[in-house]
Amino acid sequence: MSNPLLELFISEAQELLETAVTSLLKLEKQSDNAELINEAFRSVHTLKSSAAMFDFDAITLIAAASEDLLQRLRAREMELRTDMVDELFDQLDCVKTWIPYIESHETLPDNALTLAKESAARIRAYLTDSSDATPPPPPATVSINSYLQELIASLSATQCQQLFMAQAGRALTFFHYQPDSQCFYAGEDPLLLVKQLPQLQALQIKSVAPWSALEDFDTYTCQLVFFGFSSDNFSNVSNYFRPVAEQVQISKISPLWLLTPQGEPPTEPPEWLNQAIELVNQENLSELQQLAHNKLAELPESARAASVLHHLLSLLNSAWANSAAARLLLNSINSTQAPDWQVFPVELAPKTPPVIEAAPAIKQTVNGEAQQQAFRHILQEQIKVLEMADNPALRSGTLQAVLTTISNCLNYMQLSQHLAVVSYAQQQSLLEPDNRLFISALQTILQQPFEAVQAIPSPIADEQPEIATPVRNGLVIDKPAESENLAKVLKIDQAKIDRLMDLVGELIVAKNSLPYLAKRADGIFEAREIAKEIKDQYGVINRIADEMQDAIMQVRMLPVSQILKRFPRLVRDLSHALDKQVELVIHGENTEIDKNIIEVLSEPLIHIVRNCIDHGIESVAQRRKAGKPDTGRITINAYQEHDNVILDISDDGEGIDTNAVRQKALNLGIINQERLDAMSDKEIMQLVFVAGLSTSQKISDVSGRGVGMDVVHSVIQRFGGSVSLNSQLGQGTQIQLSLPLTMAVTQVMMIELNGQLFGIPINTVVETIRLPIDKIQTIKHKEAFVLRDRIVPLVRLHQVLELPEQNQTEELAVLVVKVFGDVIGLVIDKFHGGLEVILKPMEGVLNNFRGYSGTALLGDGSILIILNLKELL
Amino acid sequence: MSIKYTNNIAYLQQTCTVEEAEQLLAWFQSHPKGKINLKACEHLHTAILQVLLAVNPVITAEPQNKQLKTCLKLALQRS
Repeated sequence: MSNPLLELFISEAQELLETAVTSLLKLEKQSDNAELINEAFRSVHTLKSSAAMFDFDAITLIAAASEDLLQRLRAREMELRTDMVDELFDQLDCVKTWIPYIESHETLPDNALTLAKESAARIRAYLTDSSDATPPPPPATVSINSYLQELIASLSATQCQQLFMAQAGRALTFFHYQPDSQCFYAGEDPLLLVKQLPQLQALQIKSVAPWSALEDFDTYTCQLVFFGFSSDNFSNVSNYFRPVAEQVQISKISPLWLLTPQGEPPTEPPEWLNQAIELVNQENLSELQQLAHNKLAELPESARAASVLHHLLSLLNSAWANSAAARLLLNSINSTQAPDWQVFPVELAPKTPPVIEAAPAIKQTVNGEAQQQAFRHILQEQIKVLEMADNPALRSGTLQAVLTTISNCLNYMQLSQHLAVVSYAQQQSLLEPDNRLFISALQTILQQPFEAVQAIPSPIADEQPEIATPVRNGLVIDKPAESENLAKVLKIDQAKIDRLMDLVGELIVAKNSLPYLAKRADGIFEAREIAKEIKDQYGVINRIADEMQDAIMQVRMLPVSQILKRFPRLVRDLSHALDKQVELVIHGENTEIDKNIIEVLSEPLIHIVRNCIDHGIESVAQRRKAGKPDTGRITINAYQEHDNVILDISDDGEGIDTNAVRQKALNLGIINQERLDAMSDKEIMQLVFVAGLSTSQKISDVSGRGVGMDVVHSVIQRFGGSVSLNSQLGQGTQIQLSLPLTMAVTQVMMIELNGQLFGIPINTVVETIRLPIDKIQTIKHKEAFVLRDRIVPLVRLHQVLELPEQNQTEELAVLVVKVFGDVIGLVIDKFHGGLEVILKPMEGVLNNFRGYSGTALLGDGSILIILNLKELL
Repeated sequence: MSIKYTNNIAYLQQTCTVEEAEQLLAWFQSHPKGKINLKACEHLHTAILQVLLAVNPVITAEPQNKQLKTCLKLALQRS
């Protein structure tokens, strides 16, 4: 993604959404916890502001609506209800789904805005049917005419005429802004927003209700409405008011409104009126102009007729003179109503080529005092730089730098006429021993006065949609304390950590060759002294490498809460869906576990918890019958034990019915009757992990297909962990997941098979023996041998791995291993030594081949494949 | 605080914030003929404006700040 700000937004948005959801969840249980409401409010508020920066209107809409709802809750004007929480969750989830889309497309999906409007409306529905204290929401359509009349009346005739000319036929943009009564609490300052509206031409600020007595006045409730118009175009004004879009009505209005006459109508229509109208009908506008001129001289300024004539003249003098407008104006002499300008299109089309051309001399000059001052300041500084006695070697560079700076300034200030002079002066100075020429050139520029030219928009220019930057000052972005923690916590890309891991791994393997070198130095080269020193150094490096590995492992450790934090929501939603009451208790969420393993754990855990809720916990009715409390409980407990992390998940549900399991297993043909009878209840329970086995009466969306537990089992096993299950009928079930604490260094035994090296985890190795061929016995078509009064099956590893077998020798190299409690002998070609390696699991396609645990990098760069005996045998 | 209260005139200076609105209101209640001097005012929060509109005091000096002056002028211009 090209935009780093956008990346920041995405990660920030995800966090904000999470915080909001978590707070809401907790809030459901403690509905008057002010701190939680604040947290949720702040998250949503920040989300709204951030989204606004990127024009993600859909998100802003939803966030604004949610914010308003939360504001009401905060002000205790409303009570939190479950359906409100559900609605808010839905909205936030919706926004959450948009984030990945934004990540890949850098924009929102097309339907987002429509969805957002509907969603926002739904949230707002909650707002309107409660709280009578607040004033009613602004009416759907605002009667613009009366507002406009007021606005025009507030301007002087000259102002109106000037504005009309300046508008040059383009529509004005009318706005009606009624801020929410509680907006001050949200840190908003409507006046600030309106004050800074670009090209604000007219403004009225009124109270929505008559002012109460001063004693009853609440300074914190906003009861003002702002309306006015701007010369800027509709699109810019809309953008400008985007942060408060739902509170503002914006429309285009014809500039003809500026020609609304003022004043009281005469008691009698003037005698020249008919003549005037006659001229209009004849389209004799030039004579009309003459007539108007003459009559104006005779009329007192305050007469309405005078106002009409003034405006008429403005109209006729402009490029938009047309009889229809003229007629309307004349007819309005006799009434107090404004001419019905609405019949005209908002943009006026010139009948004749516009009289007002953009005079080339009038450019958009930068006339701000601030800019002028800055320019002078910069100029002065540059002169100072030139005056400093310079290192001759640096001089040409300095002169060039000064020239660039000055040229840029000149261009910005539209004073490019000086560019040539300055450039020449610089070049000359290079030839001179000092910078006098350059300095004097700059000083001359400094002394020239600036022309303050009023920027007049050129009428021929197209409406370039310049995005007006929305004012953020009015909205205080309340960033919670997390910004203070910035220094203490770093967000690090996982890939960087992985790289560190790899390097440490290589370091460890590399350092292992040192003792070997020492031995060679001693033995072969008889360099005892050097050998000893190598050994000493090895000791040091060894210690450091081990510590480094430890440290990196620590970096990779993440608290289990990372995956556990989504469970409260999952439990809530699921229990609602299944109409059960379930509470989730989590202990030990700070227990740390390697980040790779964490990712692995999340799916199995979800399966398990779903099973608990779906099959374990009974419905309220059933629980009452069994004398249990209405609300079922699922407890997740995480803790460390020796080298492992243990996750206990237990529920107080109905437990596993071993008879049902037996029956199902029989029906599915998984096990025959004999074996079933021989199995203890505990062993039967383990059948739960077999794929396809489910005693669930119905398959739900959630579970019951008999797939989940199998996945749990295999995933956990793959990472060197174990799963165990225990249950008591009617009382509950406990599942225990055990995983190695770190993906630490594994000790393997290297063996050779068909010229290839393989590794076998040392913890499975019992011993190595050489077996004479004649000691091999055959029992029921399978090979075996006797080892210390035990019969040990013999497995030819070549066959398992489908490698060509070597020639039979008299003695076989057999590696005795213990897998799943069974002792097995593996026939291999050769033994090699034991070795410490960093095991890396397979990726991609090879991941599916369970026979290999992974690979390791050897000191000489070759790759060792580690076998997963549990899967192979 | 950016509002300076003297005898009968409240001087609004620099930026006047929402929190000061209440105090201003209270001042007007105790000084019903109080006047307002906006000369040094750069910006006033809507809440302050609200108080001013409700009380409608005499304004002894307009703000020097152009933007604020235009805005208030437009707003306080009655037809």
